[in-house]
Amino acid sequence: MYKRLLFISFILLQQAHLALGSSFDFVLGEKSFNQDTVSKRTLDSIVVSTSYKNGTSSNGIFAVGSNIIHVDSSLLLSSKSNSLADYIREKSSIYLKEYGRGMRAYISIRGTSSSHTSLTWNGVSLAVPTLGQTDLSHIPIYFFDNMKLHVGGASSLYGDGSIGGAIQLNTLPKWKRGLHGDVTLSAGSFSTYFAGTSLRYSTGKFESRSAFFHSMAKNNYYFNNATKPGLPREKLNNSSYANFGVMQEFYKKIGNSSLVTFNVWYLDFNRDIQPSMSLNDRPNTYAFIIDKNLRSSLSLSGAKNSYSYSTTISYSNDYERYKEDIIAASKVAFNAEGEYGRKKMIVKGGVNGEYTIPSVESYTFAVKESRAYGYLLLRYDPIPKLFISAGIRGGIVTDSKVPFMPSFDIKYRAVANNGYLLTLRSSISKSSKIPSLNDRYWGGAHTYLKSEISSTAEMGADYSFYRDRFSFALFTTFYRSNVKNWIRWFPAGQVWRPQNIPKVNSKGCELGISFESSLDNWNYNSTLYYNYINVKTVETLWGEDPTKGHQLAYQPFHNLRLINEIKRAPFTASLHLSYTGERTTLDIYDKLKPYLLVDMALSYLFTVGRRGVTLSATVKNLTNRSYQNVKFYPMAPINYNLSLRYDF
Amino acid sequence: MLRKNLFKSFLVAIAALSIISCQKTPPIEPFDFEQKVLILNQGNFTEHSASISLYDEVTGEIQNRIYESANGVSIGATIVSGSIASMDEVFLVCNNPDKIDVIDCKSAKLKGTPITEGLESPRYILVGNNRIFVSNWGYEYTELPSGFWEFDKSFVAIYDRATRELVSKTEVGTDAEGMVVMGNRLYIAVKEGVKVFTIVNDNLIHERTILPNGFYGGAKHFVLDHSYNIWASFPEKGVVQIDPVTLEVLKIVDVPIDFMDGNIAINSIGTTIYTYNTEFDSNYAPVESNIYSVDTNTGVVEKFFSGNYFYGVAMSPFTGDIFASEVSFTSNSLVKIIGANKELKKSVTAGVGTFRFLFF
Repeated sequence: MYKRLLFISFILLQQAHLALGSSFDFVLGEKSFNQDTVSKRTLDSIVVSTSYKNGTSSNGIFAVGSNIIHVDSSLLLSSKSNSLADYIREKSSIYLKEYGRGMRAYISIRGTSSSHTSLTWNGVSLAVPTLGQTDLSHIPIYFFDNMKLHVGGASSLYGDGSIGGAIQLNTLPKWKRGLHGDVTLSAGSFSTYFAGTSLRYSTGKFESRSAFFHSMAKNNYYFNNATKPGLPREKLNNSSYANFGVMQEFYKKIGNSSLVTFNVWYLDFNRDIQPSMSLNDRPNTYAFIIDKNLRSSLSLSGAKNSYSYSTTISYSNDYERYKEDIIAASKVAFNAEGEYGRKKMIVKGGVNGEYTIPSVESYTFAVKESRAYGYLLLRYDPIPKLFISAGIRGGIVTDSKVPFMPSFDIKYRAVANNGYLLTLRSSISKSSKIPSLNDRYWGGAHTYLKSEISSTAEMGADYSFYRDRFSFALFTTFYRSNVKNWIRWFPAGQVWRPQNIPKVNSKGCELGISFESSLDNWNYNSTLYYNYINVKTVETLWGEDPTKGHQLAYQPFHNLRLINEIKRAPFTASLHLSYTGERTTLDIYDKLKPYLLVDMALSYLFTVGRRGVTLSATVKNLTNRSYQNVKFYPMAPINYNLSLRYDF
Repeated sequence: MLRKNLFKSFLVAIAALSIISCQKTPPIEPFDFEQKVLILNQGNFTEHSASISLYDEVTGEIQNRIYESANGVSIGATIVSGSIASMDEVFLVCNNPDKIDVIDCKSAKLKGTPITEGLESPRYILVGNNRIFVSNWGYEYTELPSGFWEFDKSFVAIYDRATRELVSKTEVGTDAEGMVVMGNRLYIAVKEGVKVFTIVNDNLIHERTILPNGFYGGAKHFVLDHSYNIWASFPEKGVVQIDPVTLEVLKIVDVPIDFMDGNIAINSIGTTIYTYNTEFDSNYAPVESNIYSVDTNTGVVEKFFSGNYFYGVAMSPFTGDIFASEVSFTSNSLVKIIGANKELKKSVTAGVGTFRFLFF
């Protein structure tokens, strides 16, 4: 009995760590480097995963001193009809700059811009190569099985653009024989609908997964117009969207330790561009945008004894049309890496290359871009309490200089007894971002631009303990990052052109506290995330720039999320509070009010013919707060959503 | 003699049309308001972040975002020009969205409903007791090989000042900008040069287009000198003095002028014109930005003051100080107050894209 309770606590603690960002291997031990799922067995209501190695390890294990947030499929389940933007906004304290409900949404980690966070799907970049960034409202959670969010500079691990952090989205085979799947339907306020279905068929050696979703909303909600005297109540115009996506994956085991994977997805987004409230009654200014994104990859991976390898070739095509402007690009990429691991050490090395052909009328040259990188990663655990990792990456890119990107991490387990765990960690890294194709070629050749380079140092501690039916975990990270050559566009007479801002400094802290308790059939957990970000331009392009030393635009000092959940089978209720602090627009005197949002949800799990059905009801912005994330773009008032998920 | 008659007709026209542009016409009456300077911050076009600031020449203090403070709402647009009328109202001409806000000079509170009817990318405004003239680019454009747009159906809209209702619209050429009224003539800066129209009731009848030999590119803005000659800015070339009666070009002065805005200013006694211009290197970085002075009598050009990126200049009629703004449009602007001795007296931080100074 004691062992079972201990095991349950252990699992709960593990989940707390997953949510808080501590590495999985921190709990399981240094042998469990590979998180790739594989087989599962059920113990009462708890699913325990074990793994076997069929490829190289995730690069995250080479960052022992960094903050990596692991989000598994169960945590993503309640957000299946949402976009990645919704998930980040609701369940992390990372700031998101949003231009309306379901509209453009750009992540900002530690005060950096959205182009400073890399985003991949099974290792394939999701950033549009011309823009060099990803609109998170375009990424459907429905497709993915897990996610890792690496907070902090990580270019040595994930490559170009990981100055603020990196998001890795993954899809995985389940190897559950037979035909399985789910149907998810939801309907909500403002004519919001979502329908998705996923179908898996597996023989144990071969697995196929097909998934499709369609989402749409009118977003015709009311708001108070802050550009008209008396703040008249108006109905929002031109804010609808209709999106669909389809994904197909095939997995084929070869022998006992090799795997061939083919993935392809296609997304089609057709979206009105929500007008600023000052243009809400000006139909002549309304516009829409069409995006079509194709991603496909073929990979082969395997392992034998202490050796493993992974190779991937991918093709992507992005098309965006705004009025008469078309921005398109095709990209072919490959990656090959090998790994050697022993009990105390893992060495991983690899090469990757990209060839991009943009099709943009505003480029004055017939641009084609080639990139090639090489990297070497090392992890060494000399004693059970000490974990060390390091990495280096370098490369060559057309018309750009690529700096070396090293990293060094260390973690020390100071206390590990009687249910108490205390770990101290630290990391230093240098990351970079090559100017995007638009930065370099839009309206001319801007090859004078330098790569953005960040140097980051951070240190933190993870503390946790469990006692019978109670567990507590805490992490805190303090960081400082200097970004040189930050790229922004400035007026240059009649045109705007990009320039490098000499130096931007970001410093702050991240805090996470998780508490979980169970009594009889009740289970309660509460998690708090808090971010303090201080990001300022310390060396300006223009010496007398009045904003020197002031917080950057749209960067709140404080962000906080509090997530409470109580379960008693078959019900789960949750209450989310999210606070976004005061921030300014480009005008340092123009301050946007902070806002606190309250969301509630209730779900009921039942069976129909031995099949699981989950019925969920959500109320967002319960207090009906009128707020803007980006000035003049009203966000949604109180809204409701009802969803039904049928698993078979 | 001719000049005297012209001056009389000018005064009569003012009485009749009451077209007064405080920024463009020389001061006729002494200032009886406090020494305040209304600073217009154009804002970033995509952010609709226009704002206005108020600078006190006595205390040297600046108050930013006074529109928001007075009205509880934002302008939510881009200001492209402004004018003080009858010393009690300020007209703010805005794009994106197109509107003209009217605010009270003393309280900065909105007066009435903004003008929106008939506006299509409005540019410049002349306000009188009875009529309001607004130049507009229009919405129709042609894309040039360079990628720039030109608006060849630009027009002037005339409004009744009391009711703010649209009275008439007249096409005037391409890329209409600044205007000035003298007598019964409307002079408007367009890409074709300076177009002169005769005002007949509320109609504009084209009389002549003035473009000096060898000139290319359009005219942008006007000032009047001490002799009530018109000076027009041609960013491709310099400033051109025009006799408002004969419509002959009297003088051409080569002087750098900002190509984007093309605005020029003149001192209170009409003897010195101020222009500004920024030079960029091959990497589009500003390498030299200067304010130039032009003697209206001799045509002598002098470099008056240097900075990083000027986007507006004006002279205080009360103190004689030069007000110049340095901008980036991605952050706040710096207003520099420069004495007649070319010494920097003070710098204050204003809003985004500071470009005009209106003196009470």
